[in-house]
Amino acid sequence: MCRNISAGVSIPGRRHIPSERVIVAAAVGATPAAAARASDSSVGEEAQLRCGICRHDSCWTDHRVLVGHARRRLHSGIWDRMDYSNWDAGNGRVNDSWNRFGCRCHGPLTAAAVVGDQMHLRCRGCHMRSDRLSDISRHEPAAQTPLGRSEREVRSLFENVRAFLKESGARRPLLRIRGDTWSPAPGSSSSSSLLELTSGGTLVHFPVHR
Amino acid sequence: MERSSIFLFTDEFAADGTEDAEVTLSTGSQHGELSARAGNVVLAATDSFYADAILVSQLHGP
Repeated sequence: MCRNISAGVSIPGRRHIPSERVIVAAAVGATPAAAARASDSSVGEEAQLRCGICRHDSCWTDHRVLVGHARRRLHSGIWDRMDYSNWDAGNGRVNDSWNRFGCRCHGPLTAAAVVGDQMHLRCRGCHMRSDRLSDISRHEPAAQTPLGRSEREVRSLFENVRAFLKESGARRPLLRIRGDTWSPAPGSSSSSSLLELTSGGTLVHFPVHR
Repeated sequence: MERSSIFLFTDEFAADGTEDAEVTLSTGSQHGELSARAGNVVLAATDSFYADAILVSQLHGP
């Protein structure tokens, strides 16, 4: 995972979210107890990024808690130090921006994927469509912060995938996610992760549920 | 992406048979089988997951 490819996501009624932080945050598992501690109003802005493959509504709560937990645990203070200067949705009028990108139903996000310089988002209302709803904004984190173990693992995976593709010359990798890779952690209702892969020269971020 | 993941990522990422490599995320037990393949490259080996990659040309053998 490259710090140069962090992204912003605008969500109706919410603050925008730097996707790199979402990726990192979601890669961290949370026990029920830890999740409960994180389940407070401070995680509201992340609430509508639903983790991937599971389509059940209950997943929303889990993911909200999880991301909030990870944010608080690993990125306390970092979030607000991100540079949003080139993200034009960072003015509190995210609904306007969201609408400008073409989503007319204003539904909550269900998924996000970064493709090249653009971010593909899906809301519930548009879920069956393949819509490009938002742009991606590139920016550098204002601060360099040591990564936690899970972050390092995720970053290492991404870098190794990139290296493999570069060295092998492969341009169209097929991603297979074996079922029990994403099984719930012991004692936990769910946990989440996000992956980033390159394909045909494009960069793809996507959340997966485990 | 495999078909099972397309609902999330759109058909733009659907496998179409032209893939030239395969990246598999798996558990330890599955990783053991995958890593035994000739040409397999281990991209990640952590406590919670493994990632193995292989070129399709090597996957199907000479």
